[in-house]
Amino acid sequence: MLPHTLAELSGPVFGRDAIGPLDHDLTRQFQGAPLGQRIIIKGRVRDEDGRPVRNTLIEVWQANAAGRYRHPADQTNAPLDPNFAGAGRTMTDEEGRYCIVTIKPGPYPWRNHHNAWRPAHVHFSLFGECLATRLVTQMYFEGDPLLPLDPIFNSIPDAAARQRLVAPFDLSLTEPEFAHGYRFDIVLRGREETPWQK
Amino acid sequence: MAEVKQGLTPFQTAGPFLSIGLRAGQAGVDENTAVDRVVISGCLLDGAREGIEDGALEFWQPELRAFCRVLTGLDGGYHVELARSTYVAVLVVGRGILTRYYTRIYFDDAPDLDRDAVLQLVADGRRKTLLARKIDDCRYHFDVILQGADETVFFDV
Repeated sequence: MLPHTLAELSGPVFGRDAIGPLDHDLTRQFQGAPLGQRIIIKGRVRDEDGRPVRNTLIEVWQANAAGRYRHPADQTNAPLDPNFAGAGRTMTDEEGRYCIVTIKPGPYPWRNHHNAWRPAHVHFSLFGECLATRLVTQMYFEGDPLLPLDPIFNSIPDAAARQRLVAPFDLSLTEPEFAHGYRFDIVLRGREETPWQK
Repeated sequence: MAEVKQGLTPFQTAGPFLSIGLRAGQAGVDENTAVDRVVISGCLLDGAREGIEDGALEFWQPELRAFCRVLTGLDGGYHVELARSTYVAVLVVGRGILTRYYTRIYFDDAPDLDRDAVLQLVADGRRKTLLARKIDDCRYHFDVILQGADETVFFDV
């Protein structure tokens, strides 16, 4: 156990110029639009005490609508989409809010066990205010029948904690004739939290 | 005063394709300052001392407010060029890692290592896992070993 020193209570600050204007939109990075269900993911990043986490970098990556990653190690029997790379990044605003536009990824076969499929998921990486708040996680989609079968999702022992990773469909975020909305709020550790004080 | 804390969003594995989304890069690094720069190279290894080829190492130097991320390659190999500092905080991101794997790199030729407060917390026999071995004036070697006999010390943070 390490008492928090400068290293742990500080962390990189990425300026807004680190993000391009379309980095948050995975559907507009190529000539054409990618195939699949267009979705808008919106949420707020807060710490445990409810304070917004402002100006923090969010990096996301995912498979395409067919469940194939644009990576040499993924040779899944599913087509690549020439208009989709599956990577995006954005920053939270002054209220900790963020927005990602993408297509809904397909489930991904991963040979962990017989007939093993990862539920559809988007990988999220966040820094937060310092090293101690760094988070790497996955966002899932409500109603996915693969969730009860997934060992990675179910490796989280607490049911309430698991549910925090399941993004609900949100009609208020849905744009008519354009994209379905999903809400994914994220809670990071508080900056001054020292575990042994709990 | 009772506080109602919100439940934390739990960790999940970064998976084998993290290089799609976690790009190598740096922030806060001032290339123009005439600062003593070093290269640290080594391997990210698992418990069987096999290289982890799809991982990421993130280096944070609070004294310089400099951040750098590199991706591991063949045999888990990496190298990073940094300005010299007292120590370098390191986070490991990779497949199967379900929490913050946090460690520090110190330079084995640095003076006053035995007075560092954090190194003092580490058992004598394991302290060497935090020391980058000097190869020459500007090159050091440091392996990050996730499990096993020579496991790098990782700190709860």
